[in-house]
Amino acid sequence: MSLKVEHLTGGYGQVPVIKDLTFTVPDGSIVGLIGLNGAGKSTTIKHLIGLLKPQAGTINLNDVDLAADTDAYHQQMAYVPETPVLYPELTLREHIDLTIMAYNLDAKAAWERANQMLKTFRLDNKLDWFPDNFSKGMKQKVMIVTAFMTNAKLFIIDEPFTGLDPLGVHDLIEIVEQKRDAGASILMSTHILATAQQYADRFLLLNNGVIRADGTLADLKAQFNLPSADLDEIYLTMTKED
Amino acid sequence: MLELWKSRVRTHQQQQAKYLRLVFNDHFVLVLIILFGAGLYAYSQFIRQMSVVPWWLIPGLALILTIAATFGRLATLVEAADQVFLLPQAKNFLKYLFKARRYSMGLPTVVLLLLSGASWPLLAKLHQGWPALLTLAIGLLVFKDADLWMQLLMLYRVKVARGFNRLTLFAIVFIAVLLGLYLHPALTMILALGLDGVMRWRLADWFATAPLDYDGMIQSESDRMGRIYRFYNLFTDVPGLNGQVKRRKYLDWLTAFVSKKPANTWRFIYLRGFLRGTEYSGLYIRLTVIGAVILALIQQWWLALLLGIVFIYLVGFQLLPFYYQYDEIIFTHLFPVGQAQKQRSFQRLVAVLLGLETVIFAAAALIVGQWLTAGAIGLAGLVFVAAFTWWYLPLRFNTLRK
Repeated sequence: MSLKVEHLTGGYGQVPVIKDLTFTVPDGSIVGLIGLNGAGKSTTIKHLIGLLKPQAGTINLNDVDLAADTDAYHQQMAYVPETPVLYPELTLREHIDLTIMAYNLDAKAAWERANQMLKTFRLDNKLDWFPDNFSKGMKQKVMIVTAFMTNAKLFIIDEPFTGLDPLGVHDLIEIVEQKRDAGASILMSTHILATAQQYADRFLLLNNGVIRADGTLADLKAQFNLPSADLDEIYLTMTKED
Repeated sequence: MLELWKSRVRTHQQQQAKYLRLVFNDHFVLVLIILFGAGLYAYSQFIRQMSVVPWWLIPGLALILTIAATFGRLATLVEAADQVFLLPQAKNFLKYLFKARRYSMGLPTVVLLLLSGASWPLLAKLHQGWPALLTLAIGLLVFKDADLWMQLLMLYRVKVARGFNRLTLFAIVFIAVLLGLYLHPALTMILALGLDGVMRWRLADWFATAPLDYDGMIQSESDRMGRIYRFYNLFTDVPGLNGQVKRRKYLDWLTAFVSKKPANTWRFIYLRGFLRGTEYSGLYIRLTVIGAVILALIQQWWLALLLGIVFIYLVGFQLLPFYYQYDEIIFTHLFPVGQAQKQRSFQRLVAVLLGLETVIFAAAALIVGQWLTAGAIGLAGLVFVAAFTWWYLPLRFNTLRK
């Protein structure tokens, strides 16, 4: 079950950016996707959400193939992009209504979940404003609310912590952990290694478009032969390899 | 500095050429030719039917010529970064701006000459000959020259005189043209030459000590380019230029017509986008009002019908880019609703908007008692809207997708 990626090769033009990636994001776990700028994190994510067409390989979520049934695949996933994108003409309330319509959610239950998160993020008094005029961090919070109010089985979060205040980071991690405990899979790309080490269950280390290492922190320590290292040191070791 | 000006003009002209090609696409040229022909016909009818010269002819003509003379701003082609990088060149900037002023004279010259030519039959009605036409044209051009000197002066922090601004200048132009038309246009030319001569004579003194107002210059240039791009944006997509969004709470009752269910996802977005964005709703309202007024004024039913259809087509055609408005927003690709719904929703919006426009046109004709025109536009318009929405739109979106 969960997200299964097999032999995924792809990129923007003819030249592949990511090469032969095979990994899984199991149910009930948080996987940290880690790599330098240009390592292929965003390209991987673009493939996983179906914005790019793979040159080879398959992407499969709970037995639904992305290429075969895109709508059913999308129904099961939610995405928080690196830079918030919002509809300039829609209010915060309408963004939530729109999400309910697009994912065919039960309005009452979905609004309950949304209201709870809006309260946490102190956005509950701004429902009739245009979020497009919010600050970067507040926009990011809107994106988080609209993603996590769905019943998705897989959440893909790209660089979630940039622009969030410390309280927001804390609240986001709490929401993510709740979803994990409810059985969802979460794939999170980040540069903030200390936070990743603390909360992610598994790690996917990407370097030059290939997976350098994959597993729990203990697995990584064994693979790199660094028994007492933390994620930071492992990461630096990896970047010095080539 | 002169090299800088040359390279700026080159890139500017390349840019404009690129956009003008998009503006004057084959559809639009066809429509323009029809409108131009209709305009000429109406103008010739207007002159033929005028047996006595009405009292408002001279003030009206003077007003039109004055307004035409206001067209054409000083194109400085400066960029925001100039403020930092060219700050040490402030003294030399004058040479650059002299070039810019001469360049800015080009387009207004063409416009004013064409318009003077067009006023020839009216001058004949006023029993004036070709010397009148010639002196009037020269007078207008010299006034434009003075106007551009004035615009250039205003880029400098210089105190010339109280009331020294474009409004005063064009009040003078209006009076001069008015006097010229009542007596003889040579008078207009003499007044223009006098004003321009005094300004040119005093220029050296004014520029000698004045500091350049970089901020104001950059601001006015970006306003000017903004206006041009907004115009282009009516026809094509100008990158980096998006219409503003207004809340318009008083229109919220309209959104209640679309119920919140998954099948309406795209209608939900499109309806709000249309009502609150200024770009497409503004265009729709402008063209509908202009069209309705023109139709109410036209006597021949077949001409009114033709123009009515042209206006409906113009609005429909210019609404097309709205279809792609949200393609940049990643979520529209991630929603688990198919693309078919997007196209259906857009067709529905276009059908409702153009249908409403047709009804308004027919009503405008009815109000002035042209029941034949109203009937023709109502029937033919609805047929046209149906064909445009359900035959042309799918065809177009499908060919573009391939």
